[in-house]
Amino acid sequence: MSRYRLFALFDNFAEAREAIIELKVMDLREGGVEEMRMKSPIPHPELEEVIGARPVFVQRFTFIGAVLGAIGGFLLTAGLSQATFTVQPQGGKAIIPFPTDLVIIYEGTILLGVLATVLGFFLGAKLLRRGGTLYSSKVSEDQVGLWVEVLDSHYEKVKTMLWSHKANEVMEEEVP
Amino acid sequence: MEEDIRKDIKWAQINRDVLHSMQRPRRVYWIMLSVCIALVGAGAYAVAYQYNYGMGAALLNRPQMWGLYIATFVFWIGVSHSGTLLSAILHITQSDWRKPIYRSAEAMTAFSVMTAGLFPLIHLGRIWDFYWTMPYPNERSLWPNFRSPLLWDLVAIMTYLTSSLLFLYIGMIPDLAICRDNTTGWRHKLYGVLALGWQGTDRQWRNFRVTYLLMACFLIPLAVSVHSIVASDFAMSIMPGWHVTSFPPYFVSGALYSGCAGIITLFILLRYTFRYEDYLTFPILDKVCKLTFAIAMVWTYLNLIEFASVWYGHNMFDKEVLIEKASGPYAPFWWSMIVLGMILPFALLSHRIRRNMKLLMTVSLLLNVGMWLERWMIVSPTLAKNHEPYTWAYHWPGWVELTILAASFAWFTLLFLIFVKIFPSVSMYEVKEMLYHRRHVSDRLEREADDDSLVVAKEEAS
Repeated sequence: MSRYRLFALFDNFAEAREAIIELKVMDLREGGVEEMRMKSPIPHPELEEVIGARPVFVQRFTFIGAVLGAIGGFLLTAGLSQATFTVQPQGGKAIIPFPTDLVIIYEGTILLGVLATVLGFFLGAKLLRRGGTLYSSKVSEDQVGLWVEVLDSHYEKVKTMLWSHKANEVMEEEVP
Repeated sequence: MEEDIRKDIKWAQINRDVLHSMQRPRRVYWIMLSVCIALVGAGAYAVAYQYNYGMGAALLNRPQMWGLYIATFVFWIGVSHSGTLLSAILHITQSDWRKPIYRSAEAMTAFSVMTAGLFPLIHLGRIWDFYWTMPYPNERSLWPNFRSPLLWDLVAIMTYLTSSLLFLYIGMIPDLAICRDNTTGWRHKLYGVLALGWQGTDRQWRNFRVTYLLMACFLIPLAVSVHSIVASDFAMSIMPGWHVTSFPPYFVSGALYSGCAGIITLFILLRYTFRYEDYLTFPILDKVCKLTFAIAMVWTYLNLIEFASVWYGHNMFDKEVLIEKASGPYAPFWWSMIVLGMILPFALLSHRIRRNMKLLMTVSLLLNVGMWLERWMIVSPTLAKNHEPYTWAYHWPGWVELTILAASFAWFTLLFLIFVKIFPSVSMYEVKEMLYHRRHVSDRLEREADDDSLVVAKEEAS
């Protein structure tokens, strides 16, 4: 069965929200809506009240990065101190000078934590991928876009519904 | 009460105003750019001269081996704390008035770290050996010493620079998408690459919000650690006047102070140069001034505490340095620091001064002169009167040091001027978000007021 993508532009979030609610109801009753996304000029966390909570995994990257950074910082300082220890003629020095190493461990934790967070963001937000052709520069200005992928059987119904919610424009394409 | 920002500004207007600022600034922009390029050129000549003739050209010698270079390094690291304070701390505390100004504060952070990073290299003399300070395997028996604060400095500053640049860039991605959608030619290509395919989907925004918050959480302890480590360069020695327990918090507060004063300067500069009167408003400037005053008082307190501990500690060497600062050859500079750093901030309490752009600009510049003098007064007087009387000597900067100092200000300003011409200096999506929430709140309050009046009317009727 072929599928279609529709992209409707609304004047504001409230109008887009009403359309999303109706789409959700339609999907629950009779199915046909494959995927739904909102594109907006500002974040709308209140959208989750309608579409349900969606998980974000960036924190896991952050945690793993920070732990690896701490371990890396320790290994770097302790490892190189061992090398230094053997070549320095004077004795009485700590083999692993932990208090001074803490600074490098601290900075390593933050550096790798930040880098891993950025990596998590790129992967989680699906950046660096082709975003598809259904997009309008008005989204980056002041309008809210609703992107829907529907089955052929529901295409007309959804399109009519989007217009009924005062959409300014509805774009469409067939999924190849 | 005066609003931070007018609620009737249209979102499309925000895009237009900010994008327009990147196309056609006032003539003063080009004048500043030319002056900066000329000064940077003069600085490059001074650096080349210094490498040709040796460090003696900078009049640096024992015991005065640090001079203006290290004082200026500390100053620029300090200025870099503005972005952390205004962006990260105020983001976490949800102070939304920061939104129109935080982008330039973050840029200021990145550029001041880049400026600060030049000074250890300039001061090194043999610049080609700078990599000796990096942690690398010691086949050549150079054994990087992890116990040295100088190595901590390198690691901390590299971490800070990387994190600050990423923080600036990540926060700018939605705006880069706006630029991509509204430009043509090379700008369209550049923003298209940098926006990484951002389309403002709910998934992207969700991840963006969490990422930005996490990075802000990392940046705050990082900024504190960076300036604490810079303070350790001094405090971990046994030099009189430096071996002070309160040095790290004293340095951090001084850093926040000069960063805030720097923000006031840039605020006024941007407001005038790019006609940002609708976004960089007086109520927001009022808040920045009050914040600067509060931090100035923390710095003043820590300064006085330091004087008191030296005075009552009865360590003859420490006391001698303090007396030397107040009454020796450096006294005019030390007292200027006291007046500019401790007394001048009280001017920020005056509503009339806060509304007078020229006067406020002068005050903010003088505050930073005071903060720069503070750094110089930390470095040179201690080195002049150390534990060994036979090495006592004063240091007065020559033309090489002064030219490089002036060039550093020009270099920082040049980077900033280039940045604001290529990238949006006011965060468009955050200003929209600010307006959206303010309209929402006022609509809700109006509805509640209507509901209340309805209840009262019903009660009266019954």
